[in-house]
Amino acid sequence: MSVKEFYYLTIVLSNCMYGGTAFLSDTALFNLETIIRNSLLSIKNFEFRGVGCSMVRGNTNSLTLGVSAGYFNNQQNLTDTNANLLRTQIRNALTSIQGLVFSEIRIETVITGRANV
Amino acid sequence: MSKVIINPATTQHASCRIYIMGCSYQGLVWQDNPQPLLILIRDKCDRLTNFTYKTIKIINVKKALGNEMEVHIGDITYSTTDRLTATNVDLLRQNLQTTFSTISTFLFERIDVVLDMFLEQPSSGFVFNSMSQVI
Repeated sequence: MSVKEFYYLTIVLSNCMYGGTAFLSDTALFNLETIIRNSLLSIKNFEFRGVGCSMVRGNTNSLTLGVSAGYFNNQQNLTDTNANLLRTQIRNALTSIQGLVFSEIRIETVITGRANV
Repeated sequence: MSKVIINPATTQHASCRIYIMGCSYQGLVWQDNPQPLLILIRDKCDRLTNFTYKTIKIINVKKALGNEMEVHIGDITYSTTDRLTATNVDLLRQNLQTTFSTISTFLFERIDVVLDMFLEQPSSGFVFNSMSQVI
C-alpha cells in the first residue's frame, strides 16, 4: 500500500507582458490559456485547472497572471527536492512560451487530499 | 464576480474595479467621517452614462510615515459591451478624471482600472484545506 497526495497549486507570474502588452484582449487571453495549458501538459502528474489575470490600466499598466492546477504526488509529503523539481519543470514550461515575459514566479501549494492506495 | 459561459469547455469569470489612489479631501488624507465624501463620489458616479457599480469604499491607510487615502469602486460595468477594451478603459479613466476633479477640495494622484479574469476548465471538485507552502 502506498500513499498518494493531491495538491492544489497556485502559480503567480508577476510583472508580465504578453505579445508586448500588459492589457490583453479576450482573444489574446484565450489564446494564452491554450498555450499555457499545452506547455504544462508535459509535466507528469500535473492537472491544469485554469488561467487568471489581473490587468491594471492606469498611469502605469501591469499584468499579473495566475495559473491554478492540481498535482498528484506518489510519495508521502512533497519534499524540498520534489518541490524544487516541480518548480523547475513549471518554470521551464512557462519560460518557453513565445511572447510571454514575467519577472517572478511564485508557486503556492496546498495539500487537499491524502489517500492510501 | 460574474460567471459567463463562453463555451462548454471553459468558463470565464470577470470583474472590474477602480482604485483612486493618493486622495485627499479638505486637505486631509484621513477622514474621521468619510460619509460626506462618500455621498459626493456616489453622486458623481451615478451621473456617469453607461456606468454601474456595486460598492464604493473610502479606505484610510495608516502608514509608518504619514497616512494615505484611497477610494475603491467595486464590480463596475461601463459601456454596453460585456468586456472593457483598452479604449473603453482609457475613456472611462478620462471621464472619471474629469468628473472627480469637479469635487471641491478633492484631490487624487491617479486612477487605476483593474480588470480580473479567470478562465476555468470544468471543475473536478477541489476541496481546500490547510497546510500551504510556497515552493
